[in-house]
Amino acid sequence: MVELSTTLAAVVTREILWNVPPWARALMYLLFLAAAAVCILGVVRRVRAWSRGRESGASVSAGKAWGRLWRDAILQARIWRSGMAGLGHALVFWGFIVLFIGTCIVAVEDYGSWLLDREHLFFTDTFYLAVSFALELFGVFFLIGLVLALSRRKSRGRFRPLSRGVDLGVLWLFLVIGLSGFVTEGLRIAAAGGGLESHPFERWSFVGWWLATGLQAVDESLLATLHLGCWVGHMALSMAFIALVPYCKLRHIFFAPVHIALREDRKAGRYAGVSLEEVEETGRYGVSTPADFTRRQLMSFDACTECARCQTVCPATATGKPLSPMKVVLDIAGAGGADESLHGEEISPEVLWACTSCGACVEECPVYIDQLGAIVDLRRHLVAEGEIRGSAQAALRSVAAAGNPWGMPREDRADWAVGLGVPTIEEIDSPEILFWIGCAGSYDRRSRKVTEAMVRILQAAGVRFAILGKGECCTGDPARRMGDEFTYTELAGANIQTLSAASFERVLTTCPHCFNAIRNEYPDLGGDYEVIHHSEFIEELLSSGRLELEDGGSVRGTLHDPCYLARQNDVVEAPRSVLRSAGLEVVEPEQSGKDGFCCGAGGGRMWMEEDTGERINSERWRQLQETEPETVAVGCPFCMTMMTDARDAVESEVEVKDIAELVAERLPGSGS
Amino acid sequence: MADTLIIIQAVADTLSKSDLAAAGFGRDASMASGGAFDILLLGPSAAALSGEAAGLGAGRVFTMSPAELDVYTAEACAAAARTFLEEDSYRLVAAATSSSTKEYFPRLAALLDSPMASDVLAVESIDSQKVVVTRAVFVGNLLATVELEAPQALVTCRASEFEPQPRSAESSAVEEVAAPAGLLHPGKAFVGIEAASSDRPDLKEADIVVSVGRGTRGPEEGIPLCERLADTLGAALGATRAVVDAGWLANEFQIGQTGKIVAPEVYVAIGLSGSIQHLAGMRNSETIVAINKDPEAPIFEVADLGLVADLFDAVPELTAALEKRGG
Amino acid sequence: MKLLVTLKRTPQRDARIQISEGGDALDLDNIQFEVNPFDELAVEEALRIKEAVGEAEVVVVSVGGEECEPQLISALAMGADRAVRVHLGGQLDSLQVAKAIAAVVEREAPDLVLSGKLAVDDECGQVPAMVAGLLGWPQASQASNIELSEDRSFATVVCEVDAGLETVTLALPAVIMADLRLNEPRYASLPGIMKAKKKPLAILEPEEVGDLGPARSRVAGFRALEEKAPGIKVDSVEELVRALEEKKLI
Repeated sequence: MVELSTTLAAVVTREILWNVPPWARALMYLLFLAAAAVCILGVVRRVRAWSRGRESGASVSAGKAWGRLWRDAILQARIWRSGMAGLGHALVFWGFIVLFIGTCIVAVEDYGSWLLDREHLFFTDTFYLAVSFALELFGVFFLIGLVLALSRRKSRGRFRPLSRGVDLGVLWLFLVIGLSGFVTEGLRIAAAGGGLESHPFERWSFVGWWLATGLQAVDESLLATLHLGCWVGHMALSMAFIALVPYCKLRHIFFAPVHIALREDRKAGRYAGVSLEEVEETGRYGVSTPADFTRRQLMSFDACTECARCQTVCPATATGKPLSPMKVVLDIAGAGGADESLHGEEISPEVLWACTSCGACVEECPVYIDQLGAIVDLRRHLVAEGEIRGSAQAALRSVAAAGNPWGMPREDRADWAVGLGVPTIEEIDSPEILFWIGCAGSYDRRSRKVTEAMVRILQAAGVRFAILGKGECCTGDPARRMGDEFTYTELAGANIQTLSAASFERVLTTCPHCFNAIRNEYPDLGGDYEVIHHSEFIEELLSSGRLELEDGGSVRGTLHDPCYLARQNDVVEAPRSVLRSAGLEVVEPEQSGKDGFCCGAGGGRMWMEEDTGERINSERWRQLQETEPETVAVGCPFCMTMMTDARDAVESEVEVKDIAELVAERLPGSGS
Repeated sequence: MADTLIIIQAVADTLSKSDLAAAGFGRDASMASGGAFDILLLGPSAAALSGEAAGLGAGRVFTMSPAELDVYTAEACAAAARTFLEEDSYRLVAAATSSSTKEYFPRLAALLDSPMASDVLAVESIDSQKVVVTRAVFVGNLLATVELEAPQALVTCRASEFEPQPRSAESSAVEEVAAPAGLLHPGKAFVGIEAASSDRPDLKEADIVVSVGRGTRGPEEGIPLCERLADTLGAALGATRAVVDAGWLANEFQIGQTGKIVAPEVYVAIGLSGSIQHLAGMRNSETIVAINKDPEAPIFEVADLGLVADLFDAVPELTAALEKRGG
Repeated sequence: MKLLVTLKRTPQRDARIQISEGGDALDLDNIQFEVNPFDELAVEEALRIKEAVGEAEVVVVSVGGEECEPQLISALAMGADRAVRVHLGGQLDSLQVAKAIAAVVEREAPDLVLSGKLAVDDECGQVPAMVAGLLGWPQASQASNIELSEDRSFATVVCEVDAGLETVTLALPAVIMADLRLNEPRYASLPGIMKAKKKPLAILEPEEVGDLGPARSRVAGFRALEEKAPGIKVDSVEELVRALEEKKLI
């Protein structure tokens, strides 16, 4: 027989745990304890695993941490970048939060009223109605989000999410919990004696109300039985969920916000350096075991939601290489002991060398994991073990011995300048621009033409500039990306000495790798200079009127954004504006700007063979050809080499030219 | 009295171009020293070769065929030569550079405690004090004048740099030398040899060499085209290190600093860029022809005739044109 | 098991070598030096044998002044255990170097001596075979593969000879000369170099290697290759054929 508290009819509220007999309550507490224990055990285990990592860097201020939490966790700011996926997650997230708050409110009401021996605490009247409505609304949001998430599994979009057992299982678990919650409510509303008319305020729980109206005809005792059954099911599944959290992707519920709040400030284009003293002291370089990572790095890997977006944007994964940034992160997170080597069949040298350091993974990750940083740390260990062979090793040696990756003689570095009237820094006092040529621009036949074009532009604009000549040596970027910090530090040190001894206003470079190294990474070694990429400088010259270009009609073209310029240094608009001034009708490919697809040469891969899968540069070329360009514009000597090779491989007639070359063609009197 | 000894490895039925060039070295050395040269045929086919060897203008031709040299080993060969030289001392002991002499001649020099110069390009002078020779150093980029100052000196000579000795009417005296025993080193055993058999001429013997580089893209693509060209020209086939490393051709085809050094009348370099190490192996060829898509490939700097073209078009075209002419 | 590897300090492989004024010497002032690439192959092979065998000592030896110590350290950085430098200066000839090394071998009594087949500067390729002759040990040259027997009493070596690939067996102790395709040497990065500085580097004085005799081979002078007359570029296969005909080559 169903009991009805007669006092309820007078108060706007509901009986908490109505129709739940003591055994079911006991079951609930038991399951809760068990689930909580399992959950806490899992969390503690993982947190302990983090603690075996190294100390690292300055901790984040409380204000900054809360700010990050508010922005990215509560407001889901970063998630919104991801369109429908973002919407889905936000709905599930907020739905879940509100439902969780609701459960807390009910618990407080329950225990509080029992403790204080009162009938009700606060869960009545307007408050009750407001909460009930909110729970209903967000419960619906929750369900909508889940349905969206499930339906995206069927989409043909680029970011179609994973549909493994665990992914579908988790979504269905939530769905069933959500639906069973509503059904339980509906059953309660229908079964509570006196009919629906006796508690009309329950309409505020509109879903339950709607279900209840459909159940009017059913016998009350049957409803009560069903209600209990549903309640037990809903409760058990919820407990199961709690227990499950730390053991699968759901762990991101705890760890992602913590990581987002407390993470180290790392930029993809700026690696964490290692000093000689450190290595001497610890005898350790790079990452071999989990204990070699910093604590916060270990924490970050546990924040992974397994959304696979990093994998989707990774050029290596896209072309069939064994590297997937997500897999690397999960392999580390799932590793055995803190002192067991991570290197092996899963995280193999092939996997680690496949990375082009484009940073797309870091850019894409919704929870700010630095996959690239982890890969570089693991690479450094390979280098420490001498596990770098073939052309990559040769390039590294050449960089160290000859100051350029091709092993060309140092004495020849300024040969390109012969006859061009280019002054060296000794010949000119405090020029406006120190033109940093870079190894490619100095030695590579094709890139020399770009250097020459840039010189013509500087001369036409009347810019007072100088070069370092033979005093310039490799910035060390190839060494750093390949994982040899020492060669990098030596070269950077030498360059910083040279640059600091010279006086000039700004450094100009045509190579985004040099640009990134000198601008973002040299300051860590004491070299602080203002650096500008040639696309930005030409834009300045054009907008200030120092440079004027002839009109020569328009050519249809596209820009292949260099990763180290657009994604890692936010220079997206300048090259486009310059190209338009140079008569190029810039048609955007599907992936451009910060979402660009790498040419495949970064991360030292320029000097490595590409034997597996499709070639990255060929894939990019294919993508660019969809814009039907006559000319593909590039802003980087590596991209130049890669796009030219890809063009030649398909014997296309499309031109590949640097921004500087296209501009130089329109210089007054150049008669293009 | 001969003061120069030329040692020729007697394993084949006829004398090779290298052997004739070694004899040519003997002639050059004799002119420099004012003396004469003898030939030692060392190996199982010494007797068979003696007739040919006798017509090379040597003072005497010795044959020595120890049973223990039926299968060549460096230790046995050095021991045999050393035994021979104990009987008859020479001012200068020489042989053509080959993979065999590279390994047994220095051993022999140590056994004799005599200085040695490797892969010599020319004899400058020989007198009672010193033997002065020219050799290439630093991957063939520089020439060094080397003086060997000792009563006896050893030299390996680069066969492609010496005029093969023509057959002379005179016949040298042929003397069979007793084969010593105890030459085999107990710790060394020859197990086997894997040699590519081919109808094509030997790389070191051929007048024309067709050499393939990475641009040929392998045995499924460009190499068969080049092989056909080689067949039309009656040429030997050579390759760059990159081609051998890639497994497209076996090591015996490699030309370069660490492969064979050749100087044929015509060297056709196809799809190879011309790295310094490769140039070291062929730059002294009489006429170098290069076919390469890249106009700025270093090979064009040493080529006498250069064609900038896609080898996949040019090589079949060339083969066809030559076939029409009759090869 | 003990493996002894000889190494030579040679100019950086890409360096442009100039002849000094007067032509009797080389201008090596601005040249950087490294371990002879062929000797590096030998060091790498010794390390691989050590890794396969489990317990072995790799000793690297060089003959020369202080200037070759960075190269020895480089080999130690790759993983060698000990270095020995025979302190000798001046222009030594191959036999003298070989005698010095033979003396070290007699002191060390290794099971295997590994060397590069030639040095990239003088390209004589004599020292290792001379060492074998002085010691009366069996030798194998131009090795592209080395396999030790299970009981480590002999080695099976594949040698790249003019005719193809020759396989020989050598009873240890023996001398083996490394060729290009033997292996791919590991990289000696700075962590290794820092550890290397703590490894033993012994210096042997000339008296300790016995009488090497006088140098009887010396380089009297250098000269550049003769400039070749520039070739001509042809525009077509027809032109090429005609040019070859004119030269009477076909």
